[in-house]
Amino acid sequence: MGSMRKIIWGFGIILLFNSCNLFSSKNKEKVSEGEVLEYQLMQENTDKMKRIFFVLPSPIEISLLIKKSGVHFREDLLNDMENLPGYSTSPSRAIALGVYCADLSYASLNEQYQISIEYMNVSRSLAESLGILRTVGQDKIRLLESNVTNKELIVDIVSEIYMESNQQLREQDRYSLAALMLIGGWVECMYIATQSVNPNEKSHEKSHEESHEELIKQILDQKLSLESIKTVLRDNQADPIIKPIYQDVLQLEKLFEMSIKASDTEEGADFIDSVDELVFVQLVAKIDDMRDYLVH
Amino acid sequence: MKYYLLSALLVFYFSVNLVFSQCRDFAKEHCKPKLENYIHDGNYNGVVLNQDEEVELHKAFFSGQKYRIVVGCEDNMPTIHFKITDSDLNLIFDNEESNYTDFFDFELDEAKTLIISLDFVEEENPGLELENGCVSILFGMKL
Repeated sequence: MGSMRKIIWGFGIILLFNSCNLFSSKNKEKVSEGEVLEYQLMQENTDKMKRIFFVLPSPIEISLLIKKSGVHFREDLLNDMENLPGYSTSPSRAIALGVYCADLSYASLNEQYQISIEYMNVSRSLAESLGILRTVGQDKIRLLESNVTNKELIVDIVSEIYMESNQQLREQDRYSLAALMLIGGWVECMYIATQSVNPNEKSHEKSHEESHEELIKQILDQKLSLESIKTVLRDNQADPIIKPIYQDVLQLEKLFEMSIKASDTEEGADFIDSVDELVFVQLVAKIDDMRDYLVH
Repeated sequence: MKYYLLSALLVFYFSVNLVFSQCRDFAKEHCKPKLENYIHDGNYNGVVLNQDEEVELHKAFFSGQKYRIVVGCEDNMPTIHFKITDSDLNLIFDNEESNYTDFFDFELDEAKTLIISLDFVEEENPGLELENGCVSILFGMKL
């Protein structure tokens, strides 16, 4: 009875303490909840405290850009679901969750409904194995059962799985796992994009060639995402799994910079003429290596 | 003593997580619908913000894609002021000039990193508002 009273008093005191601190306007401590990325910089402004976040493009966004370039869907580029039992540790599961979310985004945007449902089940199962609960509301699952070819609904569910998984990992202070999930998703999207294009392939079909040129441009535009990627990795560099990925990203950054020829292109020339094909091939190979490291 | 410690840890853990999940639910229930026919990209950008703080988001946006940015905050908070600049700080949009609208639609000719800054409008007669609350910024894309 005495112990119970102590517990009740303990709860009462701490609730009081907590309500004073957590909701106080004077509370300037770091709020780790944030959005998207690990990095939160507090910087003194003249009159306001400023918090700065760096946001990565999501797998849905990159998959949409791939789709809009006009290249065809390739099932052989997806990470095989048979690899699933091999992901037995939390870091490998977090990476795989990002990778499968990317595959799911790519498949659903390309209206591959059967594949989408299968990869959705794999992603939800991986999320549950990481302690992530209620990734998707039951109402949406029921709606999906009667609308399995509703692309908007499937993409909406993908966005919920991705958001809930990443955010719940962060809320559980599992920052390195959240970072691995984000990186897994980005690398898988870049793998799909780079494998969908062959810079040496010459086609007589104009639309085919235009699609590849558009995709190469979209791939090289991802250079802009590297700042956010480096930020999320830098903050978790102590993690032995993240450290080599960070080194790979630094090498990738150099290849991105070297992919565009500096000066010998004339003004008004096509973008594709400014791309250094040899460096681009190295960039494709580097992303292939990174993806191989992440999924195996 | 260990009961006090255990109780403290439990209460702290659950209350912090409660606030975080409330913000996430707020973003899903109040901000996501404002994306309308733009599909949510899956990124959650939410934070508990004090009235005297400012948030800045840096994100790359790509050509050939129509985007919508939606901002939202809890009831009883002051109006949100947000503006968008490029990385050279050239102003692209300021909602102060559009009656403090809570969204902005755009498409870029070339890929750029944009900076979205958000703070609260200073009220002339403060009093009823909370001093901090959930704010969120969501990104949507046209399929």
